[in-house]
Amino acid sequence: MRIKLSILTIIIGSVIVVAVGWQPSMAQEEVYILAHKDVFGSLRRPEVSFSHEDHTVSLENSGCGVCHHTRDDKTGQLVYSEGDESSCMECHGFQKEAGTPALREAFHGSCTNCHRNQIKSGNLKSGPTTCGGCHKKS
Amino acid sequence: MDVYELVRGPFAWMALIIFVAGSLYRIISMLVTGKREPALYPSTSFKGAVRSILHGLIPFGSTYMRRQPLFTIVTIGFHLSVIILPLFLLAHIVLWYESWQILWWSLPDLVADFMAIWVILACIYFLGRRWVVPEVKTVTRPGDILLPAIILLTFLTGFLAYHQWGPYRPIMILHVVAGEILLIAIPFSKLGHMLFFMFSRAYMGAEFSKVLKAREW
Repeated sequence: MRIKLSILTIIIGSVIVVAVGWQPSMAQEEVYILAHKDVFGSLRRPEVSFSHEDHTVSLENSGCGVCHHTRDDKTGQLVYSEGDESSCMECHGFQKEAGTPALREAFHGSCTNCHRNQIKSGNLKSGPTTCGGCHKKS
Repeated sequence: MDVYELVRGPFAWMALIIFVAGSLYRIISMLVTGKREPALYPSTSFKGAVRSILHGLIPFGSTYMRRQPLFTIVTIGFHLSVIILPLFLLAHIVLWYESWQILWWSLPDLVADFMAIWVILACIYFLGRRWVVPEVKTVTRPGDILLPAIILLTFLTGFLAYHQWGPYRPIMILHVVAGEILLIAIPFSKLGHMLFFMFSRAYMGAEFSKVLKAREW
């Protein structure tokens, strides 16, 4: 009986571990600290505390593809591929490369421009558009 | 409407258009309305004009600079900073990239800080000089106080905004508005020497060197 229980525990345990391990897209932090010193070297502005949770809520209808995109090898277009979400710095580096903006411009292009467009379309409670709105000195 | 977006968007466009159109208008109208003197020996000397401009640009290149060394050092640092700092500040470069996708190199932040402090102290020095030095005080008009004061405000708020000292958003908005007032004021105030100094120096140099064979620097 004890042996059977142990085997059952091991089986159930393995299933749980494998199931969790197979869903990497579930591994999301609530807040990400954007301070990629490995890309930027020493930072010239304070690091940015980015709430992933706030953005998943406010972009619920627009979808994850607003920020997360990958380049389609066949068409060259930027597409959203569910389960393939990765960090911006996977593709965007310190310098601009053919068709891929530098990391700094990618962040500013996604964050500031989106906030600005929100404000333009009447949503005054959108995110910050000033430098210090995101780059807050602690 | 979001106040920051209003001042960094439509207001900035307005200021830029008035600055460019106003400057063109002032320069063109000066060239069109300027008349050659009906003199027997027209006193124009190209060489004298160029020499006068160069002597006015080179630090300590003229007697009026050598006579007041402190003022000269302060003013040279001030003039270099008010031109170089706004054009090569990282924060401004990032904004231009966002708007127009243009990108060039930026000053190190420490150098930018140094230049901003220089401008702030220089403005205080200029304002104090207008108050204290009698021959300067007698020719001082309200605009001579107002313009350095707005320059002081622009660079002080920029400095405070970078360091995020004080209430960030109001300071940032004040910084942008003060900068726009300066931009608009360039063609229509004494700041116009930015556009006209070459012409006035050239005229003086040309006049003095041809007939009088004198150096006006």
